[in-house]
Amino acid sequence: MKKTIAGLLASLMVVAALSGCGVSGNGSSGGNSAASSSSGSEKHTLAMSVPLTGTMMQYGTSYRNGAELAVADFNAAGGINGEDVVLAVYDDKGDQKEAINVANIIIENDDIFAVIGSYGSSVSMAAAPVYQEAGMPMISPNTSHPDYPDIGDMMIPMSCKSEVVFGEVGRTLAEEFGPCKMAVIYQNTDVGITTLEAVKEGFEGAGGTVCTTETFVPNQTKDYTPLLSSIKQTDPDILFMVAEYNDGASITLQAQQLGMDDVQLVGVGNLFKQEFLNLTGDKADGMLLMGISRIYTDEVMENSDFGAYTEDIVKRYNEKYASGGVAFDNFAAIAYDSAMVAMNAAKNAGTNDTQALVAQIKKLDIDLCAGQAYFAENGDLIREIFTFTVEDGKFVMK
Amino acid sequence: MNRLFEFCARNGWKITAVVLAAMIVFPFVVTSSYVLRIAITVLMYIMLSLSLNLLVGHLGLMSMGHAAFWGIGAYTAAILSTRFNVSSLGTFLAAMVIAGVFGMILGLPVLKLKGYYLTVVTLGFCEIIRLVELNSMNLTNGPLGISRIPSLNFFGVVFKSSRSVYFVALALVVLTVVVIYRIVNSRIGLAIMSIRDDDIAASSIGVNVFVYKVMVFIISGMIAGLAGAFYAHYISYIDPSGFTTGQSMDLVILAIFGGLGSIPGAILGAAVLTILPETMRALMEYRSLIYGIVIVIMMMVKPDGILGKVNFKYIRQRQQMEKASGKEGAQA
Amino acid sequence: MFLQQLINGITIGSTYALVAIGYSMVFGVLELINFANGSVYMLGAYITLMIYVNMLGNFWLSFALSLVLTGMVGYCIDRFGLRRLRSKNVPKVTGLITTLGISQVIEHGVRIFFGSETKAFPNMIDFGYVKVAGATIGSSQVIILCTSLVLMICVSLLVYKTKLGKAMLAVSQSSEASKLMGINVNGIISLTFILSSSLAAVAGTMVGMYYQNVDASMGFSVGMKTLASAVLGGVGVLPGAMVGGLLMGIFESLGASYVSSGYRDAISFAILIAVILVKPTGLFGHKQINKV
Repeated sequence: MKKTIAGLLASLMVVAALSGCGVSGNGSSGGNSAASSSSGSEKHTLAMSVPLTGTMMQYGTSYRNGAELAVADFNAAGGINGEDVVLAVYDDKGDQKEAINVANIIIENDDIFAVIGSYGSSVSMAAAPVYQEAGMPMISPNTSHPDYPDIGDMMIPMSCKSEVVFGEVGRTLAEEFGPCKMAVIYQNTDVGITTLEAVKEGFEGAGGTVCTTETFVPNQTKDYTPLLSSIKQTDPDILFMVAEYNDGASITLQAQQLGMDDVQLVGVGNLFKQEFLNLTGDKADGMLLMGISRIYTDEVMENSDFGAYTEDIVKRYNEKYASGGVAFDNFAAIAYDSAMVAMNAAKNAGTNDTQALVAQIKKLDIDLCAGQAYFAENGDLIREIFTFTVEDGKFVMK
Repeated sequence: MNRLFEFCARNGWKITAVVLAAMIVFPFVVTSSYVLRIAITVLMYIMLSLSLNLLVGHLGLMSMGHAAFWGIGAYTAAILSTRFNVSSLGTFLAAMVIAGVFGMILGLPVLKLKGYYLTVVTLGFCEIIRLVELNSMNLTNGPLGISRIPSLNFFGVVFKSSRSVYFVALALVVLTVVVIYRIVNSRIGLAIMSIRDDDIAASSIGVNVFVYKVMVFIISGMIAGLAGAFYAHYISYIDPSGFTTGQSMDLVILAIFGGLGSIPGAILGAAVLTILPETMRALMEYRSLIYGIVIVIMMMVKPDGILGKVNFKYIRQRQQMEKASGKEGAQA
Repeated sequence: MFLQQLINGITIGSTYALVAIGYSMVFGVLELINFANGSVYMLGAYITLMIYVNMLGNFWLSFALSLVLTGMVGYCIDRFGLRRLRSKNVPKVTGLITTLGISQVIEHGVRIFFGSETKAFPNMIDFGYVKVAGATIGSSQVIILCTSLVLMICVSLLVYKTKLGKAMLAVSQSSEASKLMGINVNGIISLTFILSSSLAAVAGTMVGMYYQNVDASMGFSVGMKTLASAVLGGVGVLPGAMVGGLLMGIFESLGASYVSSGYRDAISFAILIAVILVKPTGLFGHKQINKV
């Protein structure tokens, strides 16, 4: 009995090893074959390094779906001179070492012309030097780590640095609410810290005061009452949250429970999802959401004009992916844009000269469904800032 | 299976020489940078697995805090090389020293603890170190991590290509194996294993339990710190998320999978469990699920680890005795 | 504010206590730390939610079903994962690795089959708040504390006053001797697993109700903290586990508000380490007599 189990296990591992080695660039989807024959000089494969397992699985899935749709649309519109683009998705588990392994697989595949990845700055920063070294353009949908563009010219962030966005947000808040007290509760990640610094500078520069800050480690606890009680003691007028949507929802609910009804809640980027409202119910009413992300719920789409291009994409994405999954959100939007930008640049500038490819990508001269964006003189990405609020348990654009 | 072990025991040194030669020739034969970098990762995990095996397998103390020493070594190397431009030799030595000091800090108070009390204290230690790394912005840059760590740099020679880094890693692993082998096969090793089996009996025959326990903590911490310093220069970006208690648990699985208290077992376990997830990439989302199932099944099939109960020394001794008595039998 | 933090700490501590009892019980009979307990805690909450949302409309029925199903999962962990190891006389660490593997399987399985988003959880025990001496006490907090106390008392009664409990104590002292006495050791161990898994499921569901959301990673950090609580109180001692759980909750809450929110978990672990160093067998643990 034991020998048969051992034998089965060994043969399973051998089969896995053989299949893994044989198909070293796996998970292709969208479009038809034609990928491995890198005939001529045009490359046709767009790679993605995203977490498909692990704690960040939901975001990786949104990225993959967004990019899949983009690749399907692009191929339907003719592809690169008639040839289809193939999407090769790799799972990096949201882990740094995995991302580096994936990066090494990707740079060896001659047919890949660009890579979209990953979710989370610590993972992207770890893999970036590998791509830079190999001259592979890396488009990162949400890395806002300040050192990321400095790694090299192959790095293309699709998300703004915190100082660019949140200084402005802080100033706007000070102007709208007058010189008042703000408390900041932020997650202890690169996003949290850079956002805190930027908001603080903007807010205090325009006359407000940041009376207290509290930090937490994301995914370690659901109980924010000690932090909120400390904040309540300082009697702030605004409570600024930098958190993922699940922590943000817990903070919102617990703030209400503690009786902080008169404090204006302000949240940023990652809360811009329907899942956030699913968790808070109607307790988030009156909350302000400011950032570079947009919300694509039905109510917002009905009442605002994002343009026919965006509306069409949202509709088709929801038809294909929303049931049993997550509806179109900003993560999928930026992934869609990243893929489209890469593919269009490949079509226009060719894939042989990576410098030209990167320059073409950075022009961002196509329609973007996540909102207007452009690269400034100093290399920073600039995006418009959107403000949303919540009324009757639904998002409303301001 | 037994015949395979007997063959290995008889020709132990020859096999080691062949394997070493193969590993030296390896990067010249295989040019895929992906495979080479997997090999470098495997080498680093071998170092970690060996050092943890010394603690868990030979001394018998289940420690779930090993990732902390790895992290301490990595941060030491990162801070020294980015802020003070210390060359790699300096950072390696500093990382070993500081990780060793922390090994002593962990080892001294836990001497009286037994079993799972020790495990939980090491777990707490790992968590505390990680939170310190996360919160001390001035020292470690907190969650932003330390980026653009310079590559390996010995006496002015920069080791940038995968092949050169591979050789550095190989050298470190050979050094580690030699050190641990010498320790385990000496009086110190016997003393340590006697402490594992029964520390009261050991102290009653004059083994200084205190000194040996602390020594093992320090040595295993130093090796893990060395691996960390290598990791920092190799990856060039570190942040606290790579050194969590989850990582510690993965390291424990790595050390035990190949066989407790066995040097070839630790090497085999590290190699198999690092390479296996890579080969399973075809399974996409189900990869981590299957990995967990493989671990469970393997523990059911081979509970002592792959090479757990295999003691090559005894097999060799028995073979020598057979040979000797066989000669006598032939003569008689 | 101190009172408010104390109450928060006691609430979260009582859920830790329920899971910590599970660790202690399994350790008592098997001398094994069941790392899968944290994942089972999360699984219990998920099963309740999935049955409630997708099949029945009745929350309490879903809760009851979840207890049964989670208990069965606990039974399977023992029967298929650990029983073979017992009969083979293997080192203790093997069981540990098996439970680590199982916890990974459960966590990844939940993510794949139930989705990895954080899901909203209905709060069925929210009947309002009452203000006492400047602190707000919610009905959910009171109910959680009471449920935990009642369950703890029931478990203690079971273990210390019934024949079955005597059998469990006997097995934890010596399984060899128990076999000689005619006790079905494997049956008792399975029962222990079922009980500890059901308790974890109760704790998971209650925490889900209290915070109104669940996600697949809630098992890991809670698993670590409850393991620490069980050890703090003395491994194998049930009242110790309860006290340990409550204390960890209180330390965490007070530490986060009075010392530093960033070092929250570090503070509870630091206090834990300090206590264990002073008293190497935990607060209520028995001094182990080693015979050579």
